[in-house]
Amino acid sequence: MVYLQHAHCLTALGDTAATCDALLEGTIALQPQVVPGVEGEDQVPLAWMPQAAIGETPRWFGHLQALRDQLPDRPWGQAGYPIFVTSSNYGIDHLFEYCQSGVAKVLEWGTPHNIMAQLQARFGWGERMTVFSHACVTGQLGLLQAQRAVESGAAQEALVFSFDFLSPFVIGGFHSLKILNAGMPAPYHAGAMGSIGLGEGAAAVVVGREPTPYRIGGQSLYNEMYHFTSNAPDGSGFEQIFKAAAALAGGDRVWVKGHGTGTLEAGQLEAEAAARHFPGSPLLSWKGSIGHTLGSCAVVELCIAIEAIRRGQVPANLGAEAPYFSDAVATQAFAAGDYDGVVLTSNAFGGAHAAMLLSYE
Amino acid sequence: MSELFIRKVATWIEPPGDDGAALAALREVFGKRVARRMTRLGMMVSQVLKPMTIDAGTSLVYASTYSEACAIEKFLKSFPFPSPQMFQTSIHPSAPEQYLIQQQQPVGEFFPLAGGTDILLRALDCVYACGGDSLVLCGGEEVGTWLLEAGVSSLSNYAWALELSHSASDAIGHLCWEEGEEFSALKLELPRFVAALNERAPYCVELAQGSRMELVWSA
Repeated sequence: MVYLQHAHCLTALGDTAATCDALLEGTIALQPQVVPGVEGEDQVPLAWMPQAAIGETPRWFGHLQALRDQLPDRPWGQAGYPIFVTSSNYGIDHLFEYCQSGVAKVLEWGTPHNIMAQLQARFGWGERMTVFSHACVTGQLGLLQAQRAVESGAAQEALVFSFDFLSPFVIGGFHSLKILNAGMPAPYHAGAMGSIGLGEGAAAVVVGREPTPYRIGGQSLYNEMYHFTSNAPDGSGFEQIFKAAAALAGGDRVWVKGHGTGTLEAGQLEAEAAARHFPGSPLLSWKGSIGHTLGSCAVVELCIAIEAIRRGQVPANLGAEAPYFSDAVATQAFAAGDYDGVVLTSNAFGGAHAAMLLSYE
Repeated sequence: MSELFIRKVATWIEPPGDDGAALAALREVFGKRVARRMTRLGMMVSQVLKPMTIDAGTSLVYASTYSEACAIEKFLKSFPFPSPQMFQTSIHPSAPEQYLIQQQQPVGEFFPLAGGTDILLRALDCVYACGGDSLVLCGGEEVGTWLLEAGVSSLSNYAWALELSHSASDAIGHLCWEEGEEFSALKLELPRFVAALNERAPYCVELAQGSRMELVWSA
């Protein structure tokens, strides 16, 4: 049995508690802003976290420091306490900056392994750091390997450290693909046009064997390999992952925190698969407020889910209105105590799918 | 001590000083129309994945420190008119996806790693933790241009793949490794490891604090 020992996140709405407060109030963090670094004045929905540079560190480093400061005191990165670092972009903003300015010093944060060296030096972490990058399911790869490390006895506790911050590279890239446009994201809304919003997020989760009210009931992955940026139109990937999640849940009463970015096709396929495998279970996404926090989304949203369970109130699906792709979309906050667990899903480029069952008392 | 058995191995290594001839030949293998949409790393990784047995139950682990250096360069240089194609192909783990999407081959678990000097050890730990008996571990790097000059690109072009198993049956070799108590201290030179795979030569790294890794081939 593996349990969540610690979970804390930061979003554009603040820390875990502030984010949960704001989501329960229906606050939308995303704001239309001009796409940085590109020709034109197109506006897209973005949710930035505050500047948090410490000395000559990146503008976002203070957020990582804040997460690290709240961790339980363990020899992280040393024998028995591995770290799984998850991000889709790491320091890609620094490669963009280098390309524009030619200032070599920014490259100290420009690659995943340079960032790992910085974290080791600044946080006193050891070298047992596994670095994953698989677009928007990255966070859950870390959660799955952390679970396995604890289950196998290779780890006493494992830390999943996750972050993704916005940059012209990322915003310009999504905008060039025309999936980030002027529309605000409306997860699971059956409309004429879909859009996503991008947000910043960072989170730290510790898993271990010490029983807590929050148990990882299982996790599953599936990769369609249908297209680089689209899911298989027959919904086979969503079918596979929700089928696996339903097998994990057995007959438990669960609510479903879906991926729900606001794209039409994926939203419809996901809502339909969720309804098939979890009939009557509320379905929701918070990306209509905090935006899609990319590779960190699985870990960030897990932290919010735990906070919601702790409070007893789960924030509703945000940013959208009827009609929906499914009657199960939660339009109002609801009581966590009416359920035994939550299924959390993620979906990424390449048709990558991930699901976790979190059971709670 | 962790141990995995090797069922198949494949490598692609650009010969020193060949001035792009091997990559040009590889491009011919895929055909110009297909190759035009692929990265160099994508072609190299595709070539080593071809002999591997991959199905929907396979757990695939991919290790690349710098990934798609050339696509990243081109995407960055495309601003202020960012190229959607370069953005798409620059995203880690593009190289194995180029092969698997061409094949329309789903896989169960897929763990793409980034990271530095200990990426091989971390990738081995990752594939070892995967269940089932269909395990493929692969990796590769491509040489950039201005990112190479900036010191954030591989110095050489290469790709490698191993079909692995927890079982010794049909093994042509095995890998075993362990880390010392304090910290790994196991700095593996991936190009040397890949050269050993290519030559079917033994490879052993043994360092202080009890960390070691060994590649052994069956007689």
